[in-house]
Amino acid sequence: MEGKPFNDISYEQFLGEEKLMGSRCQKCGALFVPPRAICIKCYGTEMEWVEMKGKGKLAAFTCIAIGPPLMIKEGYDRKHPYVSGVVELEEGVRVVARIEGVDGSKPETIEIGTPLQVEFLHRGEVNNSKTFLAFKPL
Amino acid sequence: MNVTIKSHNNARLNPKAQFNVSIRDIMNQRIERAKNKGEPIPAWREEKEFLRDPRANPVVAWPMHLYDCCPISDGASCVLLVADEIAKDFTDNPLHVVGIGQGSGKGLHAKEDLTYFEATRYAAQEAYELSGLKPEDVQIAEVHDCFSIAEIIHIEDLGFFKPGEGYKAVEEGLTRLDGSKPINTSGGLKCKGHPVGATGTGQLVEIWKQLRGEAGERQVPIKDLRIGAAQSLGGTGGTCTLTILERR
Repeated sequence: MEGKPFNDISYEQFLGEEKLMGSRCQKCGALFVPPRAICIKCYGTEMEWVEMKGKGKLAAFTCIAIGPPLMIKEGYDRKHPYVSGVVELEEGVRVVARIEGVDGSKPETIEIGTPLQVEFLHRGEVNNSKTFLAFKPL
Repeated sequence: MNVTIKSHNNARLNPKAQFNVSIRDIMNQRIERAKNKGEPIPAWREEKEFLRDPRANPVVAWPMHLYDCCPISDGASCVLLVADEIAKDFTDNPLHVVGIGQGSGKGLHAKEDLTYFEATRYAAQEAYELSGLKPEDVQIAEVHDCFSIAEIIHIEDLGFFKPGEGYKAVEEGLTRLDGSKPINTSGGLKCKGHPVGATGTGQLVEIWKQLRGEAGERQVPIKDLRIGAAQSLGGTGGTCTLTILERR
């Protein structure tokens, strides 16, 4: 873990291992998820990996009816929108994630502040797989 | 909805706009088409009824509907920027870049608050300081309305209206062509179109035309129109700029 560069590739590799990882500035303690190599608060460059507990609450969301080909392949369309949101983690940082277990065709039933639990969505074949970060209601 | 109706009304007067029709025109065309085809005639009486009807204005990404989103367009624009001393070699009526600012902000997910763009606020502060001008000195502006809500947020961040009150200004007509602070007289990204790489200078071209009195039917009726600004954005608000032009 120590040797991994603090970038999106490492972040996605960790997601594949079902770990939600961020970087913490060793100088000022600021936390970044996905990780940053340089602290945007104090410009420090000494970072360390930190694993998130995977709990948070819904801060904002959208229900996407017109999706990209990838999502259409998964069966989402105008009648079955998928939900994408911003989740505020217990650790205090916010991440973008798919929101599962809610009805995207009824946005009025989805509530800001809903407690959420992390979920890892593995897609694709063994040698060509990708893991997407998701959250679902507790 | 008010932003969309206003921008379409402006674009209707802009022959170079991708959608140079008003919402009312689109609504009437659809009613006409239904009549000709012998289909049930929609009961829309005015623009807002049309925009509230999901058959006319479907959801793209709730709460954003079709008419809240700009298209991705083909297009080109250019600006000739030269030193003051030689400007008269090119035109008798040059404009001056009196303020320019650029700001950076966090990604959409990392923002503490989703109701403003810190990058726009920073860019504005820089451009105002450089020019010695205040928000109230800017008479017209083009802003980056990639989505209708973005226009409302930017006119607040640029200091034209107080935070949380931009929507009222639009509702009261202050941002119309004949309002006290016309915004996106070209039709904006929403209706003029959004040829991504050409959008920023395209906004300056509109300010150029307005300040020189060459905007034709959509020329704003402000007396002694001298100062206009263009605000642009990239990376969901990660980078914003403000450029202030003056006619002397």
